[in-house]
Amino acid sequence: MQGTTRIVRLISAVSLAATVAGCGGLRIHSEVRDKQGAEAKEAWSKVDTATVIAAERGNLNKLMEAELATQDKLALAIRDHTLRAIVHAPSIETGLFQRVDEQLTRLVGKGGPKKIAAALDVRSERRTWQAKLSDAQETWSGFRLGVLAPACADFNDDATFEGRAALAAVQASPQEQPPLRRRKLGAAEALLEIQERCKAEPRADPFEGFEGVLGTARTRQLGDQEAWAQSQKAAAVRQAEYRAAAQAYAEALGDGRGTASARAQAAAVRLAQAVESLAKAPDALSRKFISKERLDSLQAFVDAVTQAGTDGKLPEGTSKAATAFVLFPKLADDARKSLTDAKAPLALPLLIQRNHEQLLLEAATREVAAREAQLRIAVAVVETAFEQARQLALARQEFDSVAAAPEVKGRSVAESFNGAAPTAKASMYRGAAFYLDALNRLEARRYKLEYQYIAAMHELQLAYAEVNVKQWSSLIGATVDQVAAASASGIKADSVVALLNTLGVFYIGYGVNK
Amino acid sequence: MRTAITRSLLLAASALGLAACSTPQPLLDQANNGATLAMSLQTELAAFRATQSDISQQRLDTIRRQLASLATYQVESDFDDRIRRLAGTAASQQLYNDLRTLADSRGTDESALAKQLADIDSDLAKVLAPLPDTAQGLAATQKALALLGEELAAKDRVAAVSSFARTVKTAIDDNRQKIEAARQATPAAPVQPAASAPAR
Repeated sequence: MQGTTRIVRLISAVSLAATVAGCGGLRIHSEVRDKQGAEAKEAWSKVDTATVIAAERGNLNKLMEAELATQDKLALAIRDHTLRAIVHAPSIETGLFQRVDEQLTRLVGKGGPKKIAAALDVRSERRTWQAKLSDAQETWSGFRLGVLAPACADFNDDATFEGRAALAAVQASPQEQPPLRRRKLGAAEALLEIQERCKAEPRADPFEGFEGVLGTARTRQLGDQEAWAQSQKAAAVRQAEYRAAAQAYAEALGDGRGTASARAQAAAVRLAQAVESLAKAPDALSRKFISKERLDSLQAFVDAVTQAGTDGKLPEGTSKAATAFVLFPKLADDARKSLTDAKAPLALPLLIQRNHEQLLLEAATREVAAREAQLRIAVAVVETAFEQARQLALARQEFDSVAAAPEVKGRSVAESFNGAAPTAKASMYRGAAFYLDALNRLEARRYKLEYQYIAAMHELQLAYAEVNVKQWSSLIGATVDQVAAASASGIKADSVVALLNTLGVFYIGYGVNK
Repeated sequence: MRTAITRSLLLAASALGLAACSTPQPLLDQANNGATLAMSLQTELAAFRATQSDISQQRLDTIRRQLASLATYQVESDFDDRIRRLAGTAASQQLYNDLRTLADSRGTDESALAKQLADIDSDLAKVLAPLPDTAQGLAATQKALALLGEELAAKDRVAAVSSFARTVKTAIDDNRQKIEAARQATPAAPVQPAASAPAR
């Protein structure tokens, strides 16, 4: 019922909007229209999709909190249940030692202690290497050339923008002052050092050969990482082509013959293709990039139009604004039609297009954030499983040191703990604490991370569903809000004529989109 | 409901149209257009709710399975405790208490690690924040554009909105495919199993 009321209000709002906008001759500010516009806006503001969405989101968050809290309780219950069985077990071997082995095998497969020791060595080697690389990068930064210290990835097969920037930054020229030249020489040495370190990067995978829970988590993490790296690479290629095409287009516009020249038209076609490739890309990185570019260029266009002087002179940044016609072929069509039909300005399409792009950008940004969160969680799951396994291996080590003692071997758990000598007893308590902690705290953490990993996938679905709602409400809202604003402001015919004259320049410019 | 809404809309539009000016057809066009947009909004709002409800259901299922497992452990442990008490195994009970306290003490060293988890939570929270209200953020642009929008005829307004409706529809269809792909790719939530069969 409430929904129906809202819809009726909404429709009234749109109708009011139509009424206000429907008559061609609204030239003088009118109190009545102002009131109607304000009422339309008020009615529309009550169709509150934001609150509906926030409430639904709030419910989901509560469920997530409950899921995580219940996991903590469950892990604790399993630990206590297991501990009960342990303390009453008639044999320390089957009651405790075997449990540790079973858990370890479940986590990493056979040969756990050896695999874990090898993994720790590999990680230690990598940490040492990382520290040396960081030293070289700090040295580079000390020369203050205004370029970030390059990372190893910047020197891979095809050098990245950052890698090329670093190489360019150390190129000395005879005209430079000696202090700058000295800094460049120093930086060149640091760069060489970084490159050498990068060549010596330890490639061994610490988790190579791990099976079980950790092996599965690692396979997933590598898969996610690889997919993301491919997305980044594909997006970088598309962005590079876009930048080159945009630059070529700007240069073509700068030759004094405007967009009508064959060169400019060819450049526009290339740019349009680069844009299409980004907008239709399967990866969110490309879509995020092009939405941002479109939004910026649209804003530049709006600025150019609305800031134009009454003398018809174009403001600064007009060439950037003209790019909007390539980024939005539809905008060019609208402009053409508007100007051909004379006094039918572009305001509404511009406003709607801006809202539309803003939401596309938001959707892509959220997908990127969700995927990045997933990558971090996938790593954390692997690290937690490894930490669990390491702790179990430590427990096994402690038990091994006492297993052969006569007051332990073949006895019940209670007898072993009571009868062992103080040093042996300490080992047994330590080992038991490691095992029980891995079973409770670390197991709970790993499961909670799994739930968060799934939540990131849920977020991806929700983000797009939410954006879909916003797209329609934005389209309706743009009409109502703009009409309300227009009704309140009245009209200045002279300004409109001057601005339309200014738009005439763009009219020549967008011929390439014909 | 659709018919009633359209009727209300047309009534409202006609009344206002007659009162305000003498161009009823474009006005009716705009009114119909508004009704279509409103329906589209309702449809997407329902789709959002369906997605939310699907996710809620999955989370509830996980919680239900967690609680069922938890209850089973509780029942078994309570029964075990009663047996042990009757059997008079005080030494084992003391060992149980000691080891429990010892193991719990490691949890208190968790603060640094908990921070790591909190960071992930805050990352997710950023992702989960509601979308910004574009209407609010665009006030300045709207003001600037209002000047240009004044003379737009109703038929042009209808044309502009309905042509954008097609653009929006295309984007929404794309998004629906992304939602479905993400739904298919979402793994089922696991529930922690027992450590191993208790040795008796």
